[in-house]
Amino acid sequence: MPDNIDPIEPDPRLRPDGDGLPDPRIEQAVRSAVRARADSVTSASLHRPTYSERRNSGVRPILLTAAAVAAVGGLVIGITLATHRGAEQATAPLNTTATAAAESSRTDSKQPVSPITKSTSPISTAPVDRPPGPISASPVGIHWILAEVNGPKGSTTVRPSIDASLELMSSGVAVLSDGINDMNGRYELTGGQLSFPGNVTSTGAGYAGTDKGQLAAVSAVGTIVSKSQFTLSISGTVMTMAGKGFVLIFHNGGPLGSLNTDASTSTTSAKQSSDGPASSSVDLSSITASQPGLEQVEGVHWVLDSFTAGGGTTDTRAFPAASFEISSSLIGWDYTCGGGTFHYSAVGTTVRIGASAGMPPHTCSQVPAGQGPRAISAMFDATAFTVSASGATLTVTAPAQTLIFHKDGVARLYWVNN
Amino acid sequence: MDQPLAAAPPDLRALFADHYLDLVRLAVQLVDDPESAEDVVQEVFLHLQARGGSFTADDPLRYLRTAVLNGARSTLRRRRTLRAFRRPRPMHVAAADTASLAKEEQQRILASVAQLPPRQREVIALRYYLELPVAEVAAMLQITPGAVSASASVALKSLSAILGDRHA
Repeated sequence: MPDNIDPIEPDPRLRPDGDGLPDPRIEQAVRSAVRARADSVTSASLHRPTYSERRNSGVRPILLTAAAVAAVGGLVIGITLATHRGAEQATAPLNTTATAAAESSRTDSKQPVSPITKSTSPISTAPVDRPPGPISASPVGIHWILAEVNGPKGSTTVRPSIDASLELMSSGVAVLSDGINDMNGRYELTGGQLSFPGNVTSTGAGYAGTDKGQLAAVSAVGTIVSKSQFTLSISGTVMTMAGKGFVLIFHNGGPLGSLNTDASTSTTSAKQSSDGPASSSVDLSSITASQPGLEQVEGVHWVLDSFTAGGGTTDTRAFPAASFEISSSLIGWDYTCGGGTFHYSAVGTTVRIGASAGMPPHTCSQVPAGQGPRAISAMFDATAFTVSASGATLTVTAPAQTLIFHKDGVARLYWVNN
Repeated sequence: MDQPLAAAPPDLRALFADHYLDLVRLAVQLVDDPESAEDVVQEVFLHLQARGGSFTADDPLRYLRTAVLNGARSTLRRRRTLRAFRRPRPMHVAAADTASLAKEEQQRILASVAQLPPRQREVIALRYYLELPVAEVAAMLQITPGAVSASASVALKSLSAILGDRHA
């Protein structure tokens, strides 16, 4: 141990009898284990060991898969600037049958999926713009795993480990993932035609890699939610979506989990029960607007930028970040070391804080540190405040201060599993 | 609040070259799998790039480490959200090429560390991987030195209990 490392002191609150000093053998064992894990990461094992500027994305693509484009009157769709570049690069020809089946058998898939039955979906020869035919079964209530992207320049397999998926709820809400970001929004499914007429919310993570499957997934999912219309066709365990120059192949990944509200889908319900207890019980409505007046506020992760109090404005864009989220039934605030969740009531855009609903899981016992956490803590100390959203900016007016937030993707739902 | 460096803002390229690997090694202590760890560090640099490559920090490395901690925390939180939406993905399993790491006891310890609450994991990583002084750990985690000691002490006690009498 280096000389400058002071030993861990026992916490007298935890050990009133005074014993229980950390066992040096445990300390050494932990030290050795974490060092060994660190040493297992080497320069050779890194996937992206070099630095590249954003402006060089033509050489080394850096995708911003969810540019938060503000639109007054609604939540915003934020989808990649570089999706078509990604699609163009994702053109490696491959033996779709063999590769897809092999990929399907990978153990890192969430659950077993049936091999692709290619004979039911002759995508290799069909023009990509030709609809594959009418839908033959309901795609609703199924976790669809994106397996293959066929674009104008070729075909790309999407590994199950990328975890790109589509879920259509009977409530009219779809949840999508391109493996980097999660999105949700309302969909329309009429006569086998799937479209997203409204806005879609998305997380805002970036992808700096060059994995062709990942790039294809980002491109494909971005196209799905870009107000395009896709024709669906289901045959066995394969769903084919065609539109806008793409033919996308999805595997049936099984029924939706606990979020599924498709009680009317008997096969789903039966499969769920055979899968054992659900891992959680989150109501999807918690990320969809339902409180009149708060439609633009709900389901968004709002990060505090600044607050004005006593005539002065304080910039809070520094660690620790402070944020808040509001669902149809809960409101919560969050900072690096804690936060709180509450029930609330709302009249129009005025929110009145109710009873505590617990603490986020990552809390510690410390008081908020930093200007941002203190300001947002004070905001929740007020019994009521009003909210006003305009595009990606939210203004909260509390009795003693005005707080300005910016949208940072969809709500993290940090009260989930709380 | 940190003050901007007046004359010489940190050079992201140099920071990347000097610290990227070490930051990934720190992140892997928190998110377990190297792919996610690399993603966490990449996102840190992407965010800094998005801000024009300049940021305010008296100590750039400490700033980066704190950013990695926050990024790892977000990753774990996102996983929690994803678990609410989907069935859990199977845990990362060490591949054959990490056989040197695959000593049974180390695997047990790392699996046990993975069960600790996030704060305790962070303390373990900062104390026993980076071997930072308690005061610096406290500053990075925005908690008191006493809380650091308490977290470490509780974590070690938990590990001792999980690992059974081999180290008791």
